[in-house]
Amino acid sequence: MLNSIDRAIRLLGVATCAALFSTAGAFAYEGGAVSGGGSIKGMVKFTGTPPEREVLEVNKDKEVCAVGVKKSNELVVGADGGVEFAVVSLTNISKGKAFPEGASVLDQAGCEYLPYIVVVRKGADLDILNSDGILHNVHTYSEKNKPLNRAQPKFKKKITEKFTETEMVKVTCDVHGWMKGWLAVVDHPYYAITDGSGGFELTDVPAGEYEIKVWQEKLGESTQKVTVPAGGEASVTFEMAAK
Amino acid sequence: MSEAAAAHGHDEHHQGGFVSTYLFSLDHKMIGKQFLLMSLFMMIIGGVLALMVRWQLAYPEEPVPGMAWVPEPYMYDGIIPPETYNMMFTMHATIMIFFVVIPILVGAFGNFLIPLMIGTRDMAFPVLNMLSFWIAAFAGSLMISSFFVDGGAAAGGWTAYAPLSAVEVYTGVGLGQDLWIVSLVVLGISSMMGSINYITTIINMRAPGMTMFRMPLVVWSLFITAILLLLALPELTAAMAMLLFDRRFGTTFFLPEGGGEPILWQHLFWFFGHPEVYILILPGMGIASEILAVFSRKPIFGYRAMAMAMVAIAFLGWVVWGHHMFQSGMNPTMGMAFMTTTMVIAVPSAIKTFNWLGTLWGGNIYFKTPMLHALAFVSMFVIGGLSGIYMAATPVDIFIHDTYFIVGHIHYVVFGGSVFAIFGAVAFWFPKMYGRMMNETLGKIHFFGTLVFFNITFFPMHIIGVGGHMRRIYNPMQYEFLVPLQHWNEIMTIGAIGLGLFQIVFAVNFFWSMFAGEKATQNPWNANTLEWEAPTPPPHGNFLQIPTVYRGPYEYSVPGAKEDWLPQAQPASGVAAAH
Amino acid sequence: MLPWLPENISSYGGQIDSLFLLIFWITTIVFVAVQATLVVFLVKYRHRPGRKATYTHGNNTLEIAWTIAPSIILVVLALLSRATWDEIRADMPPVDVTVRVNAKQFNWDFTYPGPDGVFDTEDDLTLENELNVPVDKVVKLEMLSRDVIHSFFVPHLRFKQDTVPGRQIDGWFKATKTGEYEIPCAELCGFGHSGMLGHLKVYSAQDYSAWLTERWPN
Repeated sequence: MLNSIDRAIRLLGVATCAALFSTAGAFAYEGGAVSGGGSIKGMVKFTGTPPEREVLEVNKDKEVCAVGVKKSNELVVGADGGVEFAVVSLTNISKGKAFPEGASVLDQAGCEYLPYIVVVRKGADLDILNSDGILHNVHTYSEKNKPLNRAQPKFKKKITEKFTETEMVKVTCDVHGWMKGWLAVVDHPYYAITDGSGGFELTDVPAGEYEIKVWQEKLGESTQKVTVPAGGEASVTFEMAAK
Repeated sequence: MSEAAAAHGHDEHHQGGFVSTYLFSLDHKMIGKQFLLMSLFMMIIGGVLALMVRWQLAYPEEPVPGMAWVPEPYMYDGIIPPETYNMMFTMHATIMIFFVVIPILVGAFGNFLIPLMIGTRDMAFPVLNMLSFWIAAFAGSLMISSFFVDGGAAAGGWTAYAPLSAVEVYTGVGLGQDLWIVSLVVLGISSMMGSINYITTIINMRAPGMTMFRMPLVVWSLFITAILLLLALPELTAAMAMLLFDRRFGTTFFLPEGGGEPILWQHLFWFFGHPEVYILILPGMGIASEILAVFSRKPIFGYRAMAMAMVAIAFLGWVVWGHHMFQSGMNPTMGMAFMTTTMVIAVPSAIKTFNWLGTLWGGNIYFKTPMLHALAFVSMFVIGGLSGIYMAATPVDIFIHDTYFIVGHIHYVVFGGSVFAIFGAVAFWFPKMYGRMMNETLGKIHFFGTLVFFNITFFPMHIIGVGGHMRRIYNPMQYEFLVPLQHWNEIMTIGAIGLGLFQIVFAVNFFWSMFAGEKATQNPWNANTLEWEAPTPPPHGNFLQIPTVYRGPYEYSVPGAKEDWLPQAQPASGVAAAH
Repeated sequence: MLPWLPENISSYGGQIDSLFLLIFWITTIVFVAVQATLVVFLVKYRHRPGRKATYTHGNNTLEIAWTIAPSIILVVLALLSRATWDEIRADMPPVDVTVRVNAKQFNWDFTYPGPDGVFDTEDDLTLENELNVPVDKVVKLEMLSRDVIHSFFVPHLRFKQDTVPGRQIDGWFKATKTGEYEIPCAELCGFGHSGMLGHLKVYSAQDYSAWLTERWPN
């Protein structure tokens, strides 16, 4: 009885969503062995004077949280202007390398999200760990996925969640206001997060022409065309300025 | 058709099988018993929730003994997580208020007593009456089922303050909160049916000679309660509908981002909620008056003052709701107005207390189990009433608002008051309900155990409230200023466990007596009111012949009379004769 | 009496406490009187063989007396409460320092207007869970909430005010003692309600200017 009410409400929701997003062109990704694929290497660069990273003040649960100096990860610019924590992906690929199904892991340690951005396969498990032994909560902000707000007290070492729509999902902890992280919910494996020098690499890309996109929380989005030669390497540089 | 024939016809109609006798009975007495059993069952659930809340407060984040079997995410090897804790106190209050105290007082005793005590064969609308029980039972199952849906049961407090209750992501509770709303709306429909029935029955169907001012005080109290319910519930239903619309259909009655007003919810809720508090206590006052008179063998002191005090409460109850909102951000001038009305409404309660003492004065007091509970009602209600004055004084309320002081206050009124009245009423009317007496020894063990452990459980709440202990917190040890008070939390929890254990004595007594208790005579307490004129237990149709009423309900120890009671239905010529 | 009350450190807390004590004594006297009467009656009028109860329906003089007596006490309490209530809630004394409180699940944000004394300018400073004020100065709080209703409670100050999303509620206090005190949330605000905790730091005049210099070096 209740299940059916619940299901009816959900179906209604799903139907509405389907109606709203049917124009978005959903497609199913097909994974397999890629022979003679190439790779894309590149860098995301910041143009202009890089801002200083804000120091986050820890004023709660200090015994656990006040480890080292916490700095904001919103915009981290390395020595040569490389932007860390940018998400690079191919936007129009439907067939390519195998897409691992295992769970992704987001840890809360020292009252920080590790890693800052987690790539989560659409519909697969995300294991959210609490290594701190204090109360955290997982509060997500998103457009397409259902927002989530779950407490994770010290004895709840792991909670598992699933995300059904591809998008960037912001994660915060309401107990510790400085904590912030991101989930990149993806439906194919051609995703990369830039490292400390702004570099990224997408491997085993079947030869062909693609659109490549970068997303950065402060700098926004940008796309380019890229052609991947069979067995070769394509190079892409994104230049982004403060908005 | 003569009345006897009517009763007979009625009877035949219902000499059916199990289903029409026990399930869909139209007999007000069976419906009353159904309400009683349902509510006692719900009381077990509410009580277990309370014990777990108490465990968490005394021993935060330690596993509850024997609860390791509860699956995640409700509990983690017996440890209660904060969101489950919030569900527990929310559902404890909701169940105890809406599914225990009101259904027992109004549903069970209202149904059982009104026709018997005013001398009629049944309620005005028997089918409506039957429906009101089954709709209440449906509401109860909706409420219980909310524990098992994704996200769990409501966790926003029984007051469901918006926006916390209005937006799913603020609590993480989805369908559970919706079910909570729907269940209370459904329950409201049941109570409306009951109220209309009670009011109609009392106004139109009193036995010959039963004037309004010859009605027993318990009937008065149920009459006023029914009026309060009738007027308060539509307003609650409207508020609940608005909340559901905010949650599910995108309206923003209570959400400021859409131009709504969170405090509106509080006005709407408490405009229902304060009459509600009197709905919880008025029938208890009526029951206590009844029992005190019978076991003091004295007329009730100031009968008219008692009835009028209840009428006064029924009027004033509508203009005090703002005293729940002194710290809400409501205009301070309104705070002054509500403080004044609140001080005024304390007076009728004081009048009632003094009249109960007046009833005992010069009495010939028998300490039977019902009487002990009625005396405890008076004694505990005094504490609950006096502690209310602290909250009424707005400056003091700044400090004690939302602390354990108010939790202590409400429990002295609702447990110390209403629940003791319920225990008294069960012991007092049990013989008429089931045709057997409850065991007196077990009754006394239960009474003294309950009284002692009740006070151990709830009195220290005032103390930690004075210490600033907030209500609804999950772990007091997170606050330095509460650490020195923590031993009180342990004492209260031990008290609560004792209180819970002594209720087993009640359950044993209740069910054992139902089947194996001593057979009751027609009038075991030598009481005057009309229910004792009916055979024990009364058949469908209640009276062999509708009694005629010759006098008020409390003519005990009349000078010159041979016995110390003088039933309402006894003709004047028979004053000296034994009944 | 009432040894459990946290130490009072606010200018008006004494008034609240004395009203508290007054009500305590009134209710204690009434409580003892009523319970003692009850016990005396129960012993004196208990059933014994041959005992007969007094037949009476009441006494109008008594009814009037015990209607008027509590009314007078309650009217006096209402009048006494009124003066204190007005002082705390209705009237705002001249303000020395203003701080904006923005409550959110499950933290207190305190925004200081900086040297220019104006909010929403460059030199504003927002600290989470840390309220820094000078001793013996009138502090005005502009209380807001971002999500649900919270309640700003400082037991030692005898200060409590719900913070309501969508509206600003002003309150004030004057701390009379330096030190650090807890600021719990007193209104259920979700699963993190317990542990929503800030700290009030009351500084001496000297320490307060040191704090100002540290935060706004220019």
